Amino acid sequence: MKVIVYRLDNVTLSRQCDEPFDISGVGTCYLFSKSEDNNVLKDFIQLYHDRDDTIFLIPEILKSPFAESLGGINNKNHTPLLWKQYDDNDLGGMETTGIIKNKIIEYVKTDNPSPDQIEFVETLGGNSNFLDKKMKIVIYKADKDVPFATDYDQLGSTDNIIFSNRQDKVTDFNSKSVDELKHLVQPWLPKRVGSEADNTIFYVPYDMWNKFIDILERLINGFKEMMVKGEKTSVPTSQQLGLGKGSSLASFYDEMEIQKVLEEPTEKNMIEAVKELEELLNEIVTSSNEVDAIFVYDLTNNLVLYNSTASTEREEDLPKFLTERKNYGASVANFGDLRNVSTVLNTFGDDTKRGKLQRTMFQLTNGVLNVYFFDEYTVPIAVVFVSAKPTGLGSLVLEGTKRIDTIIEKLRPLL
Amino acid sequence: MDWHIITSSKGGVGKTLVSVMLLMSSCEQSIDKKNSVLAIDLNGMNADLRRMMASGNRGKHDQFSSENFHFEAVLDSNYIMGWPKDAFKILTAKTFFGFLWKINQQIKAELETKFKCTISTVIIDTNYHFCNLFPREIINNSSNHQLFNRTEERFFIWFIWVYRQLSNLFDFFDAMNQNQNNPYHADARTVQDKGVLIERKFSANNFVSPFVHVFSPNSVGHVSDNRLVQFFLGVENPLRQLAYLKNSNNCTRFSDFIAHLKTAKQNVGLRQLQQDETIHQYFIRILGKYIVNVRHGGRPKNVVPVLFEECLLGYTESENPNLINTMRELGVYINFKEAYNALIL
Repeated sequence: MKVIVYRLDNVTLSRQCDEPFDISGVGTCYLFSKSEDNNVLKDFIQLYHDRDDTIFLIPEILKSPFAESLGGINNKNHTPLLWKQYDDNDLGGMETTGIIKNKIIEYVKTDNPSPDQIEFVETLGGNSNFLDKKMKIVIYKADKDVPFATDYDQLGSTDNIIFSNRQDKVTDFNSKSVDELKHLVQPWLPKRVGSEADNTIFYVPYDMWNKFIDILERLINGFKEMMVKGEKTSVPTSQQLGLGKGSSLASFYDEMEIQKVLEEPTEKNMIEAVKELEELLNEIVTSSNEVDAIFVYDLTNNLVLYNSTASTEREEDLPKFLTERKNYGASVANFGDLRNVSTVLNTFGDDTKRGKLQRTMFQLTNGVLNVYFFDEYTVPIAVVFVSAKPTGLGSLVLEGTKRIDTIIEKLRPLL
Repeated sequence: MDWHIITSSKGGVGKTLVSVMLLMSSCEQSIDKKNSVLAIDLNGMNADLRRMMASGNRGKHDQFSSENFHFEAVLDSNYIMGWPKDAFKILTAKTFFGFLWKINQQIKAELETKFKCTISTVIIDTNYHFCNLFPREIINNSSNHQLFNRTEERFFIWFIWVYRQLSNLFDFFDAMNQNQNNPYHADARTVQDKGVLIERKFSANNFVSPFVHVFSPNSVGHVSDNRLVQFFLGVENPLRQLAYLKNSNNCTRFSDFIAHLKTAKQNVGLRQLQQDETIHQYFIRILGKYIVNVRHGGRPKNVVPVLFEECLLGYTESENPNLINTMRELGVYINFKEAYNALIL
């Protein structure tokens, strides 16, 4: 979605924003008048924020409600929006800009209105990426030391902070407690994730990142569960950061190796997270000899939340599960009753100081279920590994033990 | 007074069933309050609601005729059934709004005098899409929607989502980055824009939205497909899962409903049918993801699933006079009534 701010002094429009007009080569334009209801603005942003073929023409007075509505949709209250000065190319050139102004003027309620009365002032977006602002943590490795002597430095702006990889700094960092280190990170941190500075990027040396995450967990409640894996390609280049070409910092930046990116989830990467989880489940099913299906079950709502969809060579042994019903069918419709197993054994574990129930094996005549229980999320869930054969118990347990942490890591942001 | 306007974009998707159950549910509510329900069938020659719920000249029933409509009081059941005198007259948005206004200003009082009752609910079964009934030029005219902004009137626009409509929307979602004005997507845009506009004009009495979104077996599936029948008979089907989700006590805004559908669609991915999968099963998979995505908040009270009942297959063609009494015992009605009560109370 592209947003153009227009100026049209002391003039009222007769057009309703829900009556868009199409401009060839530009897209579908929604013209908002200054009296537009904020809820309606929010509705239209909700519907079209991710569409590149949609242009919102908004009066200056709606800039602030627009930002607020956008923040609400993206679950962020004060997302800083990067408005830029309007350029005719933003609407496909002078000719289409003129056509759009003429279109607007048709709805001006004054005598002898002229397109010259309209001024396009600012532009936002041009693609859907402007909604994807979020805090990122980039974990890096480098053969060389950073070209500064302090604990950290800025990369171009205060939004991008790189922590030193010098051995003495790393050792010092890791030897201190989380409480002692809080002051290092806190000044650069948004008041909460999703707040003003949520486009902050922290660059953290690989040998420091576990401690760094612990600090953030201390400072931001629920941080670990919130963050998801990001794309390495989403990290800006030295040029995009405005690092002087040939400068020592730019050279270091260009040569360092990105190991991992963690970021605050947006709607877009929540969808990616589902995809990644399902890919992981399929990968386990297809690569393991004993696991023929995996599903994640909401024990409160009796719902299969996520499941493997890949076929295995032993599929014919699970026809109703995998072939006919696709979605696991009646076989698991009442699986939520297993929460009672969890409750009973957790109580037993607590009373006898044996701890909580971790997993249960169910031996069926022609198969085995290896069920892991988790009750620390919004609703209790079970992760179920299914074997289509009654044998191979050891391998099924081993596979579960080996894979469950990875599954939970992928699952966490979705729960 | 509560107004329920039933709309859909396609026939044979469960609209009559929804209307019948709506009439039965509101009668049960009204009887307690000693009120009556007025139901009007605007389906012309395909007036199944009238055929099922009016007396059909069996027994003696009070009747009344206004300028363009017949009415019959089915007193035992405490409702009045109405239908147009001329079944072939084409209804326009303008005449529809005029009709609503006339019911409120004149017909209601006449019926109450004639049948010695108090009408608290009006149900209007139409065979139109809400975009047909609520065009911009009509609802932007303040005199047309003044009725809707009165605090004593509550409007519910029931819309039965069908796979064709969903398919259009999903194609529109998939083409989000094409950067062109695709003529095939114009209707999807219109449905979205009109939904927001109607919501803005007709949300009174603290209701977030006048829309009630309905999914039924024949709207998302096709009950002539035996595999789907078997699926809908199972307790695992998404309509049942939606019905069993806890009620959120909140209504969903139109744009939020669309956003959830969009996310569910993105979770399932581009239209790529699995082996032996029909297009209906693909939509059902999306509905399944919708449920997974909204489960934390619960089922919005204006999203209503209609369950599958094998014994109701072809019911509109049956001549079973006890059908309505039979229906009271069925899960589909019990569940619907629960959803209806949560919606209006």
